[in-house]
Amino acid sequence: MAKTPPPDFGKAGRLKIRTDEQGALVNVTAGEFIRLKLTVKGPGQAVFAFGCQHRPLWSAPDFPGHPQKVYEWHHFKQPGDADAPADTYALTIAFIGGITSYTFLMETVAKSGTVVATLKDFDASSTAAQDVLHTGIMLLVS
Amino acid sequence: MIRRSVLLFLVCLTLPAFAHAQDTCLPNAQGFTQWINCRIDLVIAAKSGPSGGEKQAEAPSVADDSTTLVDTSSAPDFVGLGVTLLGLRNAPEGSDDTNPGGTSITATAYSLLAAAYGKDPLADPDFYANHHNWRRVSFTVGREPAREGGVGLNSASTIAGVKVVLLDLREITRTENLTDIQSAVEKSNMEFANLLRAVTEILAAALAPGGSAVDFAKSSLSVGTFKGTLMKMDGELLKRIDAAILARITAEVAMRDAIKAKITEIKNRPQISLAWSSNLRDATAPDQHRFQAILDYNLAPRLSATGNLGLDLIDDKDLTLPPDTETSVFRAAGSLKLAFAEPGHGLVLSQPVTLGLSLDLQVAGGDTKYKTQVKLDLPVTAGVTIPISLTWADRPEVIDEKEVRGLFGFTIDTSKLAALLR
Repeated sequence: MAKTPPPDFGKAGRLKIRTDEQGALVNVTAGEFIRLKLTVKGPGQAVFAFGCQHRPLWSAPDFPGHPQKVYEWHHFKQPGDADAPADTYALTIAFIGGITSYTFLMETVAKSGTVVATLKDFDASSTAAQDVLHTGIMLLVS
Repeated sequence: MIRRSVLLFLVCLTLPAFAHAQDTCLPNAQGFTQWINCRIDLVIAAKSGPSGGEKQAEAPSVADDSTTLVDTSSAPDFVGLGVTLLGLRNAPEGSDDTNPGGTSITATAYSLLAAAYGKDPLADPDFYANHHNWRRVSFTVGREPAREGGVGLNSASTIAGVKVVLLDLREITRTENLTDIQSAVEKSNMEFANLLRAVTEILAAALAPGGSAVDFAKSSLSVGTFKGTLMKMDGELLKRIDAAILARITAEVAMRDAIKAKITEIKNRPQISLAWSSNLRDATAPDQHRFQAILDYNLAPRLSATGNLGLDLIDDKDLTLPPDTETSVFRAAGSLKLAFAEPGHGLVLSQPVTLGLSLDLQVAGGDTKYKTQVKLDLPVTAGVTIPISLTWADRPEVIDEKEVRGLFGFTIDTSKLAALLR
C-alpha cells in the first residue's frame, strides 16, 4: 500500500505552487498597481486577511456579497495605499469556514490594464479545519 | 597526507549538506511560502512541547435490522448509505434467502436541491451558505427483508423517515461563528508580514551583504532560486531565523488557539431534531411508526451523549394482531459514545474508532421492557464505517432472538468520502 505523503502545510494541506515571488518593484508613479484574486471552493465561507506590516487592508467580510466564490481587489490605485516605500504584504487563509480550496493570484498590472508580472499563483487545499497558510511579498514602490 | 587531504575535501563537500540537513522544511518545500509556514509550525511545536458532530448514515432505529439502537439528530450533508450485511439477519425459518439485511439511503433536502440545480453540493460556497435550512431536513428510504416467520410485523417492509433539525448550533457557515476567528486571522496576518520582513532581512544580510532586502527577495527567494539560497544557510543562521520567528508568533499562537477552541466549541453545541420513521407494509401486515425528539450533546471532547424520547405506534389496519401486541408504546433511549482518539482533521474528516453503550426503555400498559446495546464503529476510510453491534433484551421477543443479537454492517457518508477524494 502506497505511503501517504506528508502534508504540504498544516495537518492536511496541499499546495500547488506555480509562482511564488518574494520581492517586486511596483512603479506606482507610472500607474502600476497590484491586482489580487482569491477563488474559493468548498461548502462554507472564506476566512482570510490581507494586509501590510502596518495595518489590515482587506478581509473576507469586507466584500459585499460575502460569502462568495471570487474575491478580487486592487492595491496602489488609491493615494495613501502605500504606507512605506518598502513594505511587506501578507495574505493569510484559513480553512475553518469549511472552504476546502483557495486559488490565489497576485499580479502587477500596468495603468493600461496589461499584466506586467505574476507575483503569486498557487492552489492551497485542505480538509483540516484548523489549517492556515500564510504567504507574503516585499514590495518596493517607486 | 593524500588520504588526509581527500578526507578533508570530502568533509568540506558534505558540510553544506549537514548544514541544510538540519532544516527539515527545505527538502519538500515547493516555494519559500511553504518553507516559512513549515518553520513557523516547527517553532510553535518546539515552543509548545508534545502536545463531532454525529451524523447518522445508518437505517433508523425503528428498522429491526438497523445496527443502531438510538438515532442521532442530524444526517450526512449529502447522502448516507446504511447496510446490514449478509448472514447476520434473521431470515424466515427454513428460508434459503441470501439477500442482505436492511438497507437504507438517507439524503438531505439540500442534496436534492443541489442535484436539481446541477450544483456540486460540496464545492460551491455561495450555494452551501445560502441553503442552510435545506440541510436541516433529511429523508430516509430503504428496505427491510422479512424476519423470523415472515408474517405480520416480521414481514418485509419499506423503511421511510423524515428528520428535521430544530436546533442547529453547529452550523459552521453562520457568520457570527467566525467573527472572532476573522479578527484573530487579521492580527496574525499583520504579524506574519513583520515576521517575513525580519526573516528576509536576516537572510539578505547573511547571504547577500550590501544589497537591498527587496532585491535579494526578488532574485534569491523565487520558486526557481529559493532552494539554492536556503541550502547556503548554516545551523547558526537557521537558529537566528527561528529566533526571529519565535519573537513574532504571539498572534499566530492566539489565532491557532482561537481556531482550536472554536472547533471544540462548535462540536460541543447541542443539536435537537424531530423525526418520524416507519416500517411500511402492504395491506396484509401492520405498519410501525416511530415519532421522537432527538438530542445530541458532547459531554467531553471524546464522549458524546444522545437521547431519544418518543412514541412507537402500530397501525393495525383492522387486522387481527397477536394478543400481546402493544399498539402504543412510550419509548426513551439514550446512548454514550466514547471515541478512542481525537477526530483527526477537525470538522470534516478522519473519524476515530468509537464504542457506544445504549439503553432503550419501552413502556406500554404499565409494563416496561428494555434493550441494551454495545456498538463498535470501525472507520475504514473517511466517510465509510463498519458498525458492529450486540444487543441484549430482557424479553426474547423484543429482538426476535433468544437473548443476544449481533448485527454487522457498513455506512457511507458520501460528503466525507467526496471531501477525501477532492
